[in-house]
Amino acid sequence: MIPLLKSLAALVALSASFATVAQAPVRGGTLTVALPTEPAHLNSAIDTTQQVKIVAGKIYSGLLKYDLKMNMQPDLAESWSVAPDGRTITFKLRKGVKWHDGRDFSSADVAFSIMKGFGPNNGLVRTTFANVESVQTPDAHTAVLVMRQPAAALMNALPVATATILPAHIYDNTDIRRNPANTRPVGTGPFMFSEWRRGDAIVLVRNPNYFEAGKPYLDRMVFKVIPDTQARGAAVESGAVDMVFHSTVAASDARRLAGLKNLELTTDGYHFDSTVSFAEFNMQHPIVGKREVRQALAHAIDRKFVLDNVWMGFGKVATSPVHYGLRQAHTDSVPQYAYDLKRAEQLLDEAGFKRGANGMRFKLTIDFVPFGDQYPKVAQYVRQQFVQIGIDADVRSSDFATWVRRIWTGRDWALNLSALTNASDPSIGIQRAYSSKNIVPGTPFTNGTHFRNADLDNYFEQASVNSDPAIRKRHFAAIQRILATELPVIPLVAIDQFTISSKRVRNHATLSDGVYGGFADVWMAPN
Amino acid sequence: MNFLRYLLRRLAQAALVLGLVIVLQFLLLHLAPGDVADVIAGESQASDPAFVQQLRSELGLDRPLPVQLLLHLQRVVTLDWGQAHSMDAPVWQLIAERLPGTALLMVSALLLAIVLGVALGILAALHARRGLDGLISVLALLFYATPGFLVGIGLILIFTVQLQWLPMSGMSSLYGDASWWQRSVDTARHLLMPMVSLSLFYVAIYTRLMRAAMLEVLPMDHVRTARAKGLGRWRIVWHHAARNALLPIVTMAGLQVSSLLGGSVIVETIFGWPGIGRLAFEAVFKRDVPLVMGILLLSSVLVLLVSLLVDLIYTRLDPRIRLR
Repeated sequence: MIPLLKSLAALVALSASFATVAQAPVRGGTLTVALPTEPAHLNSAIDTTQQVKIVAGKIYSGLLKYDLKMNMQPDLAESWSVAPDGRTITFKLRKGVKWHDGRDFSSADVAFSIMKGFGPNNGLVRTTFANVESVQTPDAHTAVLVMRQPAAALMNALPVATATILPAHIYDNTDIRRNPANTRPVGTGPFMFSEWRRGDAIVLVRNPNYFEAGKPYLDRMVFKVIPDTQARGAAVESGAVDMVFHSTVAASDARRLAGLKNLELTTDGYHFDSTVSFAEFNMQHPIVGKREVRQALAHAIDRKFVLDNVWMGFGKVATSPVHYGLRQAHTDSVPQYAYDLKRAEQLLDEAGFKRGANGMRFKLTIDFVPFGDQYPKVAQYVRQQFVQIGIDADVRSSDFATWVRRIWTGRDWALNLSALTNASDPSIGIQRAYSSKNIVPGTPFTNGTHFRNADLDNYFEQASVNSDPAIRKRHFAAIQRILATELPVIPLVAIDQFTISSKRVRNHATLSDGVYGGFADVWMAPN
Repeated sequence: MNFLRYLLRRLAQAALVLGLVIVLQFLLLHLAPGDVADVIAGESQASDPAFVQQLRSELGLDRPLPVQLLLHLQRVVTLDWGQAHSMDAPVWQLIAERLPGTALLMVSALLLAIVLGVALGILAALHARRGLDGLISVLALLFYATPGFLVGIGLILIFTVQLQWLPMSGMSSLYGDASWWQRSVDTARHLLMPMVSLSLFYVAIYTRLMRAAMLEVLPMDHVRTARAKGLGRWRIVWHHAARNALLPIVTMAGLQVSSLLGGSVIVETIFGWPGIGRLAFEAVFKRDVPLVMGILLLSSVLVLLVSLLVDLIYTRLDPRIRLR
């Protein structure tokens, strides 16, 4: 009797806990999200900044969605197939989908978006889509991409935030940057644009004709512009907003907020923004142009310290500029540079930079990207470390435009602290920064170190057209070994971005593009 | 006639100053390295030269600087403020959308500062070198020394996070239908904290100013005469002393319009208040020349007009000042 009672009790407890885990979604409610910066417009085909993507991602749809393990799922495309030679890719599109203005969605919209929309206009992925020769539309629900050469990264680059499908009937034969729909968007997504109070808030409402029946659950979404970091923290703490995304409260505040009983924190859903922070070198600089000097500097930086004290533990110590989250490419088996000041000094002595009369070896200026509050802190830390090994280092701060000009045009810099989005694939996110073919003075986020290595160029090119994952992984491993040996860049921290949200908000981090996705599945638990 | 000639001459001077200011502003903006194409391409992590070139030619940034300046002057004269580069809207529209917010914030903060400052200053002067005076002085010092952003964050922590009484961001949180009355109350609730944050510094200034002016006026003969006539205490304070002491306050308020605009940048940022200050700040960092120039033009005109206005009010308040 007793055992039976016990197991009964266990069963009751189990079903009770099940009930809290797998509650049925509730319809209704308003979800308020804090925006750190007001978007310039809401056309994510021509602008991939966070503030544009997070709003536009709810209004538009992409061809595919990706779960947290990057498995493809249908969005506007119901099914898809890549020809064995990689030369054609066929998408079967969902039927009966309507634009928010009532017009029918068709393959013509897909063709327009790839050839004239995000294809040429999305700065990050345009090299990937440059391989598309044409998009054929045999019927209204089939789109066939004909490739000049295979693009291995393309199938991982089709979520709404990167590859936004625009309405051809509104955009075709217009100036895409000046189209009035950029600020009054018409999409196929779960939410419809309602109102834009400039400088204050953007309001979206439920799309009653969304193609997934019964969704979305929310009645309304409000994106509230809160430019101040402290104020964003206070906003989510007080419940004035339900969510802050992409690490936009101070990391030092995040742990405390995450511990509050009404809030929770997740680092899921930022795969497409996998970012590694690093110290990179101007390879033409007379001093840091020498490999021994770069190696010495690598030994002088305690990356664990940077991770724990600047990023407050959000991430992992980086050994490669490829984020550990990109499992198809990342490797740890590369030369390592342990934190060792003696070794650093010894390498500098060997390189011919002995301490002078004043105890200093040479002068070095440290630049950093003026974005967020982390990089100035890293700069101060690195300066202190360098002074210890006899380098007369100083830190120079500049605003974004000045910094961009200095690194990629003026080139009067030595060491630069910054970060780079890997996107979903090294062929998109990493190749641009280290391939010598992409040394383009005057263009930001090209190869700014002017690193040249013929082997590396080769591996990148082969990886970008080969669709065999095993071969690609080998190429990427070779690339990471070359970078870790030649050290144009010292990777510091593979950053985990985080979202802090009210515990009432459910299902917001179930996809690889997390908060940038459509939120059709997101619902608010009652108070 | 005399007045009209004076006014015309002052207006001509103002126009000349304005022209110089516009040219200087334009050149100053172009001294800073980088342009809006760098920012747009950088923010979207574009790494494609054709893309950046395409942006520059679309935005007219590839033309020589003197040509850009002439085009700009031509636009100013024809009142065409152009298209903002960093936001998808005409400059005049962006400014027009933000102007009411800033005007509401500035005017209410200035009024609060004057009313509170004058009252505290009078009280302090009447109790000079006694307990209340000391208390007010300490308070004024505190207001003067505490930066606006600290006051703002402090207010948010108390009134939003702890007490949950006031909304902390934006100008309104009503969506959908609401009556005129509901909207007004909602806006007032949003205005309270930014207004106080912006005005405390000026409260301190007006308090000190008013106290000093009152102490100067109170021992004067006409006040003694009024007292001898047996007039009521508050009548003496208000009609015979305070009115005369108000002159420096008027000057100060006029001068401070431009500094208020500056202070509003910070307060607008903390409270997410949709105003001109924040718009200017963002525009500078995005190297959005047309937008910055539009805002600077507006604020220059504003400052010139207010200083003209102050001079005119002065001649009314103090007949000893002549129009020349």
